Amino acid sequence: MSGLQLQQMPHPASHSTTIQVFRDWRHACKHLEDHLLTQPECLAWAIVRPEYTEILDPNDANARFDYSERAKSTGGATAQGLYDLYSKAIALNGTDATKLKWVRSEGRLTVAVGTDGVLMLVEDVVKSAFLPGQGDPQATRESQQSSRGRGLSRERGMRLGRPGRRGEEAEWDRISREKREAGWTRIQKLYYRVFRPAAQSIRRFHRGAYDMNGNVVRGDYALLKGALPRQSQLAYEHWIILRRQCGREV
Amino acid sequence: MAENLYVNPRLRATRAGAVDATHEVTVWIDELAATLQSDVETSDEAYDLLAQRERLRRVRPELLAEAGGLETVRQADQRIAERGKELAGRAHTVPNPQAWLEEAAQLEASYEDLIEPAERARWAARLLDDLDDAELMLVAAGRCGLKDQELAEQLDACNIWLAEHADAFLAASVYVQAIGQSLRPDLDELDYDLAATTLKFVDILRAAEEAERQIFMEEVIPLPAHVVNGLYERFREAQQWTEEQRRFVVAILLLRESLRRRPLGRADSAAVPESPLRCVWSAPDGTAFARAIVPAQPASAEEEIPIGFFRASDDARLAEYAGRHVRLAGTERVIQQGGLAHIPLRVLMEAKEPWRLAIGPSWEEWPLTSTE
Repeated sequence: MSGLQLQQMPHPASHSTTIQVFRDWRHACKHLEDHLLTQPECLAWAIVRPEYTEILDPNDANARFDYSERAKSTGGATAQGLYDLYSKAIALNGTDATKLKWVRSEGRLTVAVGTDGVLMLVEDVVKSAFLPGQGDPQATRESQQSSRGRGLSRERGMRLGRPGRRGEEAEWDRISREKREAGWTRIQKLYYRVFRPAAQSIRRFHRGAYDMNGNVVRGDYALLKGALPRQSQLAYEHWIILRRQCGREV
Repeated sequence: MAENLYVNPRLRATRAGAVDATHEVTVWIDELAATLQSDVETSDEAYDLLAQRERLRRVRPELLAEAGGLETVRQADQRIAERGKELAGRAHTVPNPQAWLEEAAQLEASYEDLIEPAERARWAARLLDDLDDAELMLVAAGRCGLKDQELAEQLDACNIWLAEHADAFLAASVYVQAIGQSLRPDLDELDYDLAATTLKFVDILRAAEEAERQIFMEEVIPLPAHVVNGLYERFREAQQWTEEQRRFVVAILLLRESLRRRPLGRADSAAVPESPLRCVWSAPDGTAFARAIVPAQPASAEEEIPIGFFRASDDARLAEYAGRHVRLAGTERVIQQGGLAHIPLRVLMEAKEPWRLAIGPSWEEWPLTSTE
């Protein structure tokens, strides 16, 4: 029983073909949970689609957790709003990918990325879409084993900060960041906080493509290796030009 | 020419050309370029700038030029020359080696979990990058005059753990091979501190070689063909014997059940076999076979069970077998006119070993090849 109305979009590698955004409500809700309802990726989605905050507060871990649980128990019906903005972002980025040729196919598989940084994996339907560079999948899985109260978050590792020496510096960082970002437009936030980390992450995807003997174990995302321009041609001002070419908001 | 510690041509991915060092260098250059596109104010940015610049110092100069990194490196050097000590002071607050150790232990434990191999490979690569960044930042900070013995010791502990658990990072072996191919082979003569940051890669390359040797049994000397053939023959015989035993046990159970149920008749007739038991023995060369048909409900254990001998090509009865002796379950009989011999059911039921026919005069053995 599905209460979720699934959307259609043009195929990024063949614009005349229409594809569905996820196979069924379960896949759609799983991706909402993994990406739009998990910190820090949820914060990036709120930049990509500002109407996100009209649906729920991405900073409220409990609200995200409850939204996810409710979606699962209603066959996706209660997640229509979030799914629609997700689908809209995927479709727009798919069109960018077609125009900028940021799309690669192998067999029936297509990988594409747009100027918001939304990366999508397409076969006969959209199979996955997310913002790379917003936390690692292992931490996501662990965070989802938590319950209400901890929310869905994924922060850890070497860069957690040095115990006993981080406090004052963290405060300095926060003030510097706030001061800098206070003058940013939404589009600048979109570039620096979302698109650029996505592009950097995509450049590293090939590192998961091989097993230890050099056999390809997962070549899908690695297909985009070399598809994006070098960073020296992908600074903010270059990106703005590309956005204009795609008819996107700048 | 001295051996290059960082390149192991025996590794499969290296041999197969699956390793792309140039691409890794372009990724590192792009990462540094992205950092330079900001004003480098926060600790993380300072940390990135110092580590990313230092990483490119290890790269073979021709590769750096080929990947278009010279201008980016020049800009980074200029920024560090202007603000090096300030950046180093800020960067020092970022690394948390204890948290790295905890995450590395999780990676090692993840080999018992169902994680997509690609995901594990990326995780292992990122953990290596994380440790590498911290070490590279420490070296860069040292160049700016900022030493930090405490952090150095903590990172040593991470490296010791890694050396003892290098297998945990084999998922990122191809990435490590690419890093190795990007490194200047003369690094230890050029800059000892920088060369020390590469020891973890050498550890992983060694572990990869050892793992490949074990997986592909590269140290095992192949056995001579005649030994392999002999072993294979013995294996096949053992396999056949096991199969015969299985058929024998099934047949015996069916026969016993038939006899046990017979006097009870209909009461629990559902358990009584409804069709006769057919046993087939095949000549080793496949040209002939023998077939016995045991009735579903034999009159008694004394009932004589006929065994017919047939040509495999057309199922014709082998009349020419008449007069030859046949042995089954320790009992010998003479094949009669029409290629038929009779064995009492009791003999079959009291057999201790799978029924195997032996045909005189050579006493060639025919295994039981089917019961149904």
